[in-house]
This record gives sequence, structure tokens and C-alpha cells, in this order.
Amino acid sequence: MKNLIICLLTGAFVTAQSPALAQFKEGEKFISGSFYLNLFDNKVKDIDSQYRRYNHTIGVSMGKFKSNTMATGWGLSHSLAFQKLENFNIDPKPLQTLGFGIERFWEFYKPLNDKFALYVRPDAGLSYTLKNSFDVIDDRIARETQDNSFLLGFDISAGIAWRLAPKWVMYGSFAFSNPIYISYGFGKITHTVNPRPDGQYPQTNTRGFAYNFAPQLSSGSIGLGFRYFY
Amino acid sequence: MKKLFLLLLPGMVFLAGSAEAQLQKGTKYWGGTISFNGTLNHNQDKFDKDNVSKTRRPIISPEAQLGWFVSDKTMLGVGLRYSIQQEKTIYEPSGHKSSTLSQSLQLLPFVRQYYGLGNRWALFIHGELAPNYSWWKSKSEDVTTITTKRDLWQYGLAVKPGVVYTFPNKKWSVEAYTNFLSLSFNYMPIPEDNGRQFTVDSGFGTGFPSYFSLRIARYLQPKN
Repeated sequence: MKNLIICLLTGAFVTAQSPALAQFKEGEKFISGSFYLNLFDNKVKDIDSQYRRYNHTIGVSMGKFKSNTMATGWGLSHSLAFQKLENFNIDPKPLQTLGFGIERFWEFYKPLNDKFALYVRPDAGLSYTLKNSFDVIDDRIARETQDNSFLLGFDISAGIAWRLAPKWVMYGSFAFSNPIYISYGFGKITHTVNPRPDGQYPQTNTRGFAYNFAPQLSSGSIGLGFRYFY
Repeated sequence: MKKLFLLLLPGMVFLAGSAEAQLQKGTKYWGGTISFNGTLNHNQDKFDKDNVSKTRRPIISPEAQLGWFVSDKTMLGVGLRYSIQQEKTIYEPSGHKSSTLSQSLQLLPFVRQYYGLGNRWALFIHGELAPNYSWWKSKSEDVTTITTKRDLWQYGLAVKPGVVYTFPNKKWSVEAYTNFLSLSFNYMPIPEDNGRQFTVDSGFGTGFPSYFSLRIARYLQPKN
């Protein structure tokens, strides 16, 4: 994948010696999206064990060019994961993760020729995630943890856009950064072994705040995608 | 920032280009960066509301560098890297407190070889020696106070490439180190048990670099 990006970049850079022409026009609108679904089912009759898992993620992004070299837009995302696990002392909560996110993005383009343009894309996003997890000690679920977190972050990515058809543009992004974020979370940790004398299980309510500033870029996730223009 | 990214991308990939001297002997240099992060946590027992623990964990890591060009392409310099982390937990209602203060200091003499890529871009190979002194202080305050201290030396040698972009006003630059084609050695004697630890890290490959560490820099040209 990385080499593909480099090949694309090579083509873009070499052809950049010709006079630059704008690929995009003010007023053009675009949309891109993703939908991933995963199902898993495992059953072992001899030991009465069953493990089922379902998860999906959905993302939609829409934007509009404000000038030939600048676009803005909004992105929405959603994720959901369920599981059913039956071979421990308790059945853990079926809901694993539930997430919603919204982002506002700005894209700045530098045309290289009539097909290729480099772009940089800062965005600011707000997300909410509910996560249930558990700890296994000596083959028993000893603790269940529930965490609700809100994250406000600033990201930046960059890459190259290739207008391969009037209605379609291919995007390759290869520099990501998450330099600034703050997050607030609350939840609970419930013990599921060693109950109290009154029969109830110990429980701790948690809340926390985190912040981060790191002037670092990571290209750990290099991606290719398409956008439809209308 | 926008122009930096737009120009950084092809610049990192294409090394060919007409070399144009933007640096010269006598140029002074300084650079710096900072990163910080932290967490604040509050835990409370559901059945005993007075049973509360509060934890605070900030980390700050500043770094500064000074250098002088001894030729048009070679710079000698020294850097100072400091890191401080404090973790403090208070348990109520007992009043028990535990804290750990971790600090490290590195003095980094370095040499850089530059390869110009025009007026605004240059690549460099950065080699540095990295003696590192770390010290920790842990304190547990209850009925009695117990304090433990520990310190450690380790010695490193690192070679890593980087790229520098100078903004059009020629006053400010941004540098990025990368793990692409990097090599580092670290030796750490462990006095407590007469042991030692030796680490080699390398990042050789033909893929795109996966990591860049950014810093702000200034190149002060000598007055003619």
C-alpha cells in the first residue's frame, strides 16, 4: 500500500513540471462513505460453549468547495459491537462498544497538474464512546468495566487527490497526526467474584480527565478512498 | 502549516533536486520542541461513598538544541532533553498518600550533515551521543513516611535522518526527524545486581516513514 502511494506521488510529482491547472471548481459538492460489517459465530457442543460477535462501523462525509483550492464539510461516524459469550462464570454484557462522532473539516489543495493535487486536511471532532470490557483471572471473569468517554480532538492528515473521472476522485492519505486532544470519561468497575457480606459485589465509580499535546506525525494508517462529485 | 504539509510530502519522497546553498559557515542554529500529556482520575466506592482515591499523572518533556555551522554543510551542536513525570494518589478517608517523581536529563552533543534541496528545503543526517541520567523518588505517607530514591545512568548513540523546511520569511523553520533509515544503540549498566542492558534499534526499509517528530528551529545567518 505504501509503495502504491509512493508510485502515485511519483507520477504526480513528475507531471507537476507542466503548468498547473485546477482540478476543482468553486461550488462542487462531494460525498464519501464507508460501511463495514462483521459477523462471527463459534459453537462447541461438547463443552457447551458459544461465542457470537457482531460489529459494524458507518462513516459519511460531505463537503463543498468554497474556492478552487479550498473545501469544507462535515463528517459523521457511528460504530456498534455486540457479543454473546457463554463459557465463563457469568455472561458478560453483550454491548461491547457504541460510538458516535461528528467532525468539521477543512481541505486545502495545491494543484500539481490537471489530474493530481496535494492536499492537507485539518479537522476538529467530537466523539462519544461507550465501552464495556472485562478481565479474566484464573479462567473466571473477575471484573467488568464500563466506560463512557467524550473526546474533543484536533487532527491533521495530508495526501494526494487524483481526479480520475469527472464524477470520481481517488484520495490517498499518508500522514496522520493527533497532536491535541482532551477527553472526559466516567464509568464503573464491578467485581464479579468475591461478593460482600451483604451479597452484593464491590463496585467502584470512576471518572477521569485526560489531555495530550504531541508535535508528532504518524503515517501508521495509510489509506485509499474514492469520492463522488455532484 | 498548510504550505509546510503540501511541500513536505513530495519533499520527503523525492531526494533529487538542484542543491542550492541556503546555509553557510558561521550560521547559528537553535531548535526546540515540547510535548505533554496527563490524566486526572477519581474513583469512588459505590457502597462506601467516603472511600475515594484521586490520582494525578502529568508528564512534560521539553527539548532544546544549539548549533554552529563549521562548514557550509556541517553543523556541530548540543541538545538538552528533560522529562518530568509525577504520579500522585491520595486515598480517603485514610489520608494515605503515595507519590512518585521521575525525571531524566540528557545532554546530546551532535553533528549534522546537510544536503540542500533548494531555497527552503534541506535533508540532514543527525548523529548524536546521548548520555542519560534518570532519577526517581517515591514517597508513601501514612502513619509513617517511607521515601525511596533510585538513579541510573545509560549511554546512547543514535543516527537518524531528518528534513527541514524554512518558511518564506527565512526566520523560522520546521524540522522533522523520522524513523526511516535510523540506527541507535543504548547501553544501561544496572548497579543493583551488577547487570547490564544493551539495546539496538534500527529502521531500514523501502517503505514510507511511519513516524515524524516535529520541532521549531531558527537558522541565524552570519552578518556579512
